[in-house]
Amino acid sequence: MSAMTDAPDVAAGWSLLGLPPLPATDGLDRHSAELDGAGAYQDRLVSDGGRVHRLADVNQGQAADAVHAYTVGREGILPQAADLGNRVTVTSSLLRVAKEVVGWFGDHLAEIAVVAGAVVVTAPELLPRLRSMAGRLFAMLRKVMEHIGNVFKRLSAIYQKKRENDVAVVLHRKWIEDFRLKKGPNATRPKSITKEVDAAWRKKHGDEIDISRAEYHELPPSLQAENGASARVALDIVDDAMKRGVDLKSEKFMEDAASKVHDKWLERNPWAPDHQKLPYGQLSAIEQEKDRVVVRAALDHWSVRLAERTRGARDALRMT
Amino acid sequence: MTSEEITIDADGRYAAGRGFQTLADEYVQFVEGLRGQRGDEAPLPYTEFSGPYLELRDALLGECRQLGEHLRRTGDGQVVMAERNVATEQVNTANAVWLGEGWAQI
Repeated sequence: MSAMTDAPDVAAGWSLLGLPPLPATDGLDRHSAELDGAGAYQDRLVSDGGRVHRLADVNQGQAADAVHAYTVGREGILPQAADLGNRVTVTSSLLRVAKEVVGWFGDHLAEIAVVAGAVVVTAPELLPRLRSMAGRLFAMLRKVMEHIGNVFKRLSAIYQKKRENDVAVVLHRKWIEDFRLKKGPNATRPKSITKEVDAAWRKKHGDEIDISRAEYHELPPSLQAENGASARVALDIVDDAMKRGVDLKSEKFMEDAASKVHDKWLERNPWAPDHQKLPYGQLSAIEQEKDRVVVRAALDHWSVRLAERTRGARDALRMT
Repeated sequence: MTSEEITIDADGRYAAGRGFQTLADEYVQFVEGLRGQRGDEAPLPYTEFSGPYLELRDALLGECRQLGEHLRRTGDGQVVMAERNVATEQVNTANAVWLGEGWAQI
């Protein structure tokens, strides 16, 4: 119960209005303070990390460039820490906004409650109006809370989409590597783009794409969809396992996770040929490995990014 | 600089590696503390607000944990590189002879 509704004149009127108790906001304060602490820690980490990184500044060469890219490059861990710090601070600010909102509505509702307490004897016919007014205000409070909740949802969705994209990029590159190993470095895999969902893409890029020469982000939506869906499934499995404290390095986890990835793939692709329609345990070793690749990409997506950044640093060196 | 030019400062690399390992240790401890502090405690009894908030908080803490792993990897990697640099230097020194004007590998 909030302190503002505890005052005797407010409490009496509040019960006349038939409102549920207003929540205390000290939980918001605690969470906000915790996030502020985390944001400040991220800032300090960026500064300390930069100082520690400079200790190895004398080193030059490809290995040093790779470490530099991994640590302070555009997507390096220290810029990531700064970005994370910003998002933590934004989240904390939203909690403070929520506290202000509860306080603002609470103040007005308390005033109405005091009026209700005063008129109950002298003009009880006003009570229904006051109840209606208070009810509408209370509903507005819940609506604003829902809006702030939707902002939290949106922030989570942006983060989730970024992770899915990271894993999907890796899955597509892995497919290209395997394709070239099997068919040779000059092999191509053209695909006609006919689906409605790709209309905007087709207008811009034409009716065909060689998917063995395209990066994931260059693919039309319909061709991104499958890797995106696999990435989402695998990340959900890994997240859930992490929450339950499962040993992610165990063979059991890998096989269970690969089996789930396969089941979900079958749900999305009911047209699959007979040799892929089998339960995971009965698939050929090659088919099982395809499912493990997806799990591995979800498990490793941070370290894979290291490989990408290292490659980027090497490419940059070749150009100099 | 060209890709052929290499300068190695194993001591600096080792110091940086140890520094990142220390940062990783402290950071992981801090993040675990955060996880323990609030747990699943909702800041308000309104599910439309607290549900999405706790989900976002969980994701942010997950990212913090991954960042800790990054720091550790950086530290471990730098230390391993420094040790390799020193070992390579020792092998090179052991296999070299002084020819009056410079060292030659044997």
